[in-house]
Amino acid sequence: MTKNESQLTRLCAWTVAVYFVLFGIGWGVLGRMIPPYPASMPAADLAQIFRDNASTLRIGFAVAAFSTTFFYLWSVGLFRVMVRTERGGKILSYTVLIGGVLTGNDLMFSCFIWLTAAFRPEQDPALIQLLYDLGWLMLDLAFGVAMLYMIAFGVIVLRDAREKPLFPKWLAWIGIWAAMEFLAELIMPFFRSGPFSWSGLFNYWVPFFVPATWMVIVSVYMHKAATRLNEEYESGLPQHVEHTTIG
Amino acid sequence: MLQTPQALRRAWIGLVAITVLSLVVAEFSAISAGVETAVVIAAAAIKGRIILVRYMGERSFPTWLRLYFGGWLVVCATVIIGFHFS
Amino acid sequence: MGKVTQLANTETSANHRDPQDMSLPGDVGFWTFITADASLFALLFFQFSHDRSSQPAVFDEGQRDLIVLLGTVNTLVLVTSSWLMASAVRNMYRHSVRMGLRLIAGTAALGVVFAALKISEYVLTLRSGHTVSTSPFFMYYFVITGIHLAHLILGVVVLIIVGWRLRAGIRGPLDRTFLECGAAYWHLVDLLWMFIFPMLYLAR
Repeated sequence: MTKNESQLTRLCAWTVAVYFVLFGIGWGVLGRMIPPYPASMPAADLAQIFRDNASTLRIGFAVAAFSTTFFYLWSVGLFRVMVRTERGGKILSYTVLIGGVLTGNDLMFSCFIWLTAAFRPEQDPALIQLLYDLGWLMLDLAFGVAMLYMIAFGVIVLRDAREKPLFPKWLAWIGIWAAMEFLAELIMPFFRSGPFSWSGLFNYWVPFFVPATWMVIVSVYMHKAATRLNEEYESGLPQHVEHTTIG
Repeated sequence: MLQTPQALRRAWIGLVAITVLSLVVAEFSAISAGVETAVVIAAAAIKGRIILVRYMGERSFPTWLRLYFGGWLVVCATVIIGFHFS
Repeated sequence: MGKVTQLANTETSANHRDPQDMSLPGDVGFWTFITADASLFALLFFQFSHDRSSQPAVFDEGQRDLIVLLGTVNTLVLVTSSWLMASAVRNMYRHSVRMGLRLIAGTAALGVVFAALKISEYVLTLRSGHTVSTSPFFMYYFVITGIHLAHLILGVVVLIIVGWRLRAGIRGPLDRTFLECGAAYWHLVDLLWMFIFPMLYLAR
């Protein structure tokens, strides 16, 4: 990895911090999503909350949607490191890229939906509830795209044959595990309350906070990897060649 | 660490015996509910330990892993039984 | 047995693992996967027990409609499968490849038996009118045994892959890792059921 590429990749690693701060404040605090309102909340109550807090909800979801911009940047940086890590053809690296970008999309679009509810909160409470439901069902049930990049990352890292791998193998396994846990979201639509609902232990707390922690750790190693890859390049070690043809 | 065929078989006999015993205590005895729960859950932890040591090679686990699984068995059994009596 | 001899054994005789070999079966990273999974199930147990304590009558009533016989048979099926798998690993290391493969196949077959019995149990339970929304007890019954069943089915697939990969025996350290990780995962599935069965079916 050339010096320029290494610097840009490290910058991308840092953007995860920007993403988390903006998303955490926008979606989590202002958007009142830590934790979200339960699906069992009556529409009238939910609509009242939207009316009372319309301004903060609007800023929150708007900023949260925008924050995914940095998620995409992070994905590109991770992709560059994956290309240099992956042995053989780069299909899994592209899977990491696509999965990362689509996950960002999922976060972004669900924020648009909640933003819409906050935009005109004086409307029929049933519509507010419908939008709230839609946002959550969309966010949670698109988990497949997150599985793509977390599992592809895991496989690439497990196959890294370096003496000292760029990423630790346990990080690969935790990512694979967290991705598999998302499958519990398949039963989420059956519950409006309890530990398997969108606000419950197994379909909210675990699938949001374990991957978030994992992302931060991945970013730390991504940063280090970019430096090491530059060193490998400078010292004339054979580079993993990227097949640059698309399609 | 490889176990001998005899050790593996003995482990299986133990697991089957404890399973049958739990069933008898739960379904065919007049023991009170609380005691019965404690017995079958403790039996679960014992069976877990047998599987861990005889089949999973617990003896060769690094310390952190031994602590984890030992703790897992104890904590799960304690919490389940504990909530039962609360 | 000194540390030097241990290292010599693992490096030079890739096919014959010394019975005194004290190295962790499988791959350290993989065990973090196992511990994460075990932790998730522990959380499921805690959540179940907590919810049960606030309405024990509802839970006891639901439990009475469970088919304990099927659960017990499944328990016996699973512990037997664990025995077969542990024997399979031993046989593979002693280079009894055909026996080892037969034992792996036997383990997978018992896994399929478990799954078939479980699905029959679900059908019978559903037919008697109990669904995932009948009561909190049945929610946990279907979800916990369902997640376990998903793990088990994945385990059967893993065993088939391991068996396929090791069809000519252990030819290198990676084969050993595959075998040991596959076995460790299967034993985890068994270990979890050791708690799930009494917790759902017997404890009251």
